[in-house]
Amino acid sequence: MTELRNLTDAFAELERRGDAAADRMPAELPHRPSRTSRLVPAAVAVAVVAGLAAGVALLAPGGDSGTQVASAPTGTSVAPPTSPPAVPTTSEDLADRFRTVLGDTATFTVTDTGAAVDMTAPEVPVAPDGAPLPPMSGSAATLVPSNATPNGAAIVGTLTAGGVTGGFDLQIYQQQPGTEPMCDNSDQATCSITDGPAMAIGETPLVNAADGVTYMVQVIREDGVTLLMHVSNERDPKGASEVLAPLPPLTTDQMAAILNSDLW
Amino acid sequence: MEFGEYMVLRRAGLMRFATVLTGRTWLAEDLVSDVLCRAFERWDRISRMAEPNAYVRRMIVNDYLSWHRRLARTSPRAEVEPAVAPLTDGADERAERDAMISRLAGLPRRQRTAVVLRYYVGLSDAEIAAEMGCRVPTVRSQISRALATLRVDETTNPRTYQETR
Repeated sequence: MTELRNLTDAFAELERRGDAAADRMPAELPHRPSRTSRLVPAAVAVAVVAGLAAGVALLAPGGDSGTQVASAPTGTSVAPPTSPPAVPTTSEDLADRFRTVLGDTATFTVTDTGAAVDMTAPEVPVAPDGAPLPPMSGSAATLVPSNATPNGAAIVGTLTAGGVTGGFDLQIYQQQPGTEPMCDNSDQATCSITDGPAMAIGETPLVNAADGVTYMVQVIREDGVTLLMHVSNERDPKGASEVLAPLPPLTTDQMAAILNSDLW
Repeated sequence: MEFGEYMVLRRAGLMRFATVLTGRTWLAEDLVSDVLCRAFERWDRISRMAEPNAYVRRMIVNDYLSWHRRLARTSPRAEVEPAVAPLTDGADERAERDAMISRLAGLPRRQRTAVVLRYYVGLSDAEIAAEMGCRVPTVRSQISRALATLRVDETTNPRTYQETR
């Protein structure tokens, strides 16, 4: 066991890091644009400051600002592909694929879209010319990786099934094969992890609404392709929004079946 | 107090709090920026509160506990440390401190939040429960489990860290 002093030392060090980060932040007053455009600087901040988001949906306004409503599939059977199809790298592709997978299970409306960007972090700070710098050298370093490449897509919106509507988000992106699934909130008693298929299923009460809840399912295929979906009874699966129904429109079992579909 | 004045006075402190809370400067920046945007929008109402900063801090806590669903997938593989001058001594203390930061980072978010609110901010169990939207016994349980994971013996030094700024 250690003394509480070690905890306070850790806080002091984190404070120092916070001060350093605060010094780098612009001192301008925030603007208050629409919610959608607010996601852009937030996502860019994550990307630029951290520079190493692994398989993340960076939400940005979509090129087509209109909403899409899913329609039922044509009814013809689709043979499973012999090899996994390419991961959708556009929100349009993802919405099309999602529509196919859902069939007549549900309809959805896309309200926000984005790309998943996998950026490999430099193991050590790098100089502006890309040369590695020794840690703690005191030299100026850039944290912006140069090898950011889109490797997936994300869509956000509302989904209706069985007459019940709720918010959802869906991401598909490539991770390293062998990556283990994880719940958003691993301390939740509702989190369960399975090995075959590699899947995490969780249920998270939303903070800002008494009845708000979000279900999450993450499936990671053997090739590292990852599907992550949240479905909520609130309009926004992150919470802090209108509660639309007593429960989300899909159960976690239904979500697991959707994400494990051969039609992806 | 105008919002601009509040920003000048409190933003650095909010960044400190958010960094201690999250353990990651990039996430702290994201949280603080987002919360300040929303606080700006509601500033007429927030500025009339008895403790506007406590309200904004609670917004940060709520965001930390709710935004994780999307941000969980943005978790960096390692925090990139800002460059600092090399030190020549105190290696053991730094190792101990870094090990503690590592253990803090490994805590579930609600446990970590409870520990930070108790030992960094200095709130009581009841205040933490109000801040986190849970019951007092839950707070005590979260802190107890967190201290066990952190391998901290609470009885060795009962003083509470004083949040600064």
